[in-house]
Amino acid sequence: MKPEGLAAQYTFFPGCLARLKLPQVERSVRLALTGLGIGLRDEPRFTCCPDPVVFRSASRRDWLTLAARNLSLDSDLPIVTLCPGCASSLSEAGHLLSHDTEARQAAERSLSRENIKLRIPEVSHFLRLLTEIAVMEKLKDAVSADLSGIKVACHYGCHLVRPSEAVHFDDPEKPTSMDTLVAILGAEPLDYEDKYMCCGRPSMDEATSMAIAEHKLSSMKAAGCSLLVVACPFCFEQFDLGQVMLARKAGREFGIPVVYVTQLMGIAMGRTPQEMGFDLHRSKLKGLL
Amino acid sequence: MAMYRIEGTSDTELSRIARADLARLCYTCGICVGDCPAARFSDDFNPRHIFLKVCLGIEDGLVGEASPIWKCTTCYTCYERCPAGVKPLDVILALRNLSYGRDSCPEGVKNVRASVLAGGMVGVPTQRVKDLRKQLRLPDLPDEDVGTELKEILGEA
Repeated sequence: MKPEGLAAQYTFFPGCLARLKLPQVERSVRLALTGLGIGLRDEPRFTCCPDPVVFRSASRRDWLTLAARNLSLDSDLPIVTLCPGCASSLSEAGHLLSHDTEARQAAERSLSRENIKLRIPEVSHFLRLLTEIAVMEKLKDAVSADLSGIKVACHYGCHLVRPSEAVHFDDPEKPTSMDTLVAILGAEPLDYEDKYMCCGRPSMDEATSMAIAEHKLSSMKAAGCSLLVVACPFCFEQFDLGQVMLARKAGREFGIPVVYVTQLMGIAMGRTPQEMGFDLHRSKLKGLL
Repeated sequence: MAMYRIEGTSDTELSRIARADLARLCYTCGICVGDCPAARFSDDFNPRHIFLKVCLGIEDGLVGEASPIWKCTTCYTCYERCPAGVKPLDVILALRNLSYGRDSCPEGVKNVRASVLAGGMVGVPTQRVKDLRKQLRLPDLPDEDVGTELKEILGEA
């Protein structure tokens, strides 16, 4: 995936969901970053971040220890993630390891069992890198397809910007980065009711989770959206697979195609829907892109 | 981690867990309920009630598989807004950790933990995904024996 001559600036942290279920999304994120001159290195020993919701619900201490391991694996590069859950989990772990001496010493003791020396690199979700001004200038020049008239509902989700004490990206309650990016691609970003609300996916109660998803989709539909754009593989599944479940269980049909923000970038930069792997999605584009 | 002692609050197993002890700072203002998606879209999830109970040491109904704590979406909205310095999500995670410790939690929690400690990831790849990854020229997945290393680090080997 590394174009010749592009030196690695970040270690790429792909996470579990995209690696195991959404390889087309992983490919689109890699293409977006390297296409804009951001070189990536792979670390084959990276495991689950671990997941800040379910794994951490078993043991907060084990979560911190295994996050410390992932943080410490590479030599000297900062980390860029595909998934906001991974970025938030690793950033929060780094924040705790930097500020809580007791927690840091415990992690160091655990890591020493495998001769790993604790390291706390900077961790970013890829959207932070793509929305740096210099990168957006490059992106502006690279746009070749016409996306005008496509009304896009951006869904930010939660872990992309929170907890802000550790994540340090965009506004923690009213983020704007994805709308800015979508506008640069030439599509029309929309405002809609409860835009900044969670997708519902991490709730471990299915009824609550689906009720939230249904509300969000209704509100996007009411605002006239033709495309839903996300930057999180869990939000992606919640809305993509979620629409199938809502149709089956509640008889609600929304017909809103869901794409990853880097897939839309690929289209804007002249790649075909097939190259972006849209045929693997449950929600269908029906010739939109 | 500093332990905050507020007169009149309890000293229980729960309130002694680091960061769950911050529930002692709660003055039940209710800002955590305002934009809570789980509170809005379910009948029995109310973060303010949860923190008040923890503060008073009333554990009843909060620990275990039947507790409303599993409805939380971990969105961190309350975490951002709490004016008292409670880390609300950490209190809920402490309740979940206690539940796991007592072997009363959703199966998903046990499965995810077991999966990570077995092969390093949540889930295992299907042959279809392995083929697709090859076709898209994506790197190989981690070796499955990474689980041994993880268990070693956690002192569970």
